[in-house]
Amino acid sequence: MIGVIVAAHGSLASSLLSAAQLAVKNIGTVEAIGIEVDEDGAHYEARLREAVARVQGEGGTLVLTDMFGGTPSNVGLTLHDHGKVEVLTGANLPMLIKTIQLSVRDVELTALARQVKEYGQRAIAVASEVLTASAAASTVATGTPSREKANR
Amino acid sequence: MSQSSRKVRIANDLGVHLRAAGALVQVAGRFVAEVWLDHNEARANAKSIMSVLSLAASKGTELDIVASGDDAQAAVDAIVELIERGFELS
Repeated sequence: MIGVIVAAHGSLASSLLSAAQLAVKNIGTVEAIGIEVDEDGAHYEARLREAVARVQGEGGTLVLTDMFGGTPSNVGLTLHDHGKVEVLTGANLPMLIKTIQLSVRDVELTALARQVKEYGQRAIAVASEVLTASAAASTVATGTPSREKANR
Repeated sequence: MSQSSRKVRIANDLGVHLRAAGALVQVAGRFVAEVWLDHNEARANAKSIMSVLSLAASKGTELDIVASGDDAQAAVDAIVELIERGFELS
């Protein structure tokens, strides 16, 4: 079990968590820690540090932040502790859903972070590209009797 | 190893949206069988939220629920029932 923290600006952390919990509810130990506009870094660091300790599972804690270079991310990086606290930046909704799902499985912390990073990148799509690709695929498939389909 | 499949039409107004996909993956995860949702030439893994959402199945879409494994029949029945109930978990 790995504890999960969503660290982000304003209400993004709690909003992202609410949205993820539409898909995966009552799973894992997750907390949203948002930084307020007028909150100083030291105060946020103390809150984040406490939260990391609170959710920590036997597999450690993953801190998922909204943006590399932002305060939640910078503060998160100061808490990085190899194998115990990992930080993954650039959070999106698919990444958080995947993180929550994997956090209750027998996965090593760094491996989880790497897997979620790749998953998040794959989840980004440009509609024109997707539609062009599926049009091409169905043209090919029309002439193919095989029932084997792409496992997307 | 048994195989099972059944067609079902999406009846709820919002189609297979995020919450619906979450419920579907939760139900599929109860079975050891591999479960897929087939639509035209696309195939989604019923145990992956992103895969299920990638079908972009709107109201009226006909899906072929296909399962392979010891409890394939039960898996297909449970998913068809979930879809027919408009994705409300019982």
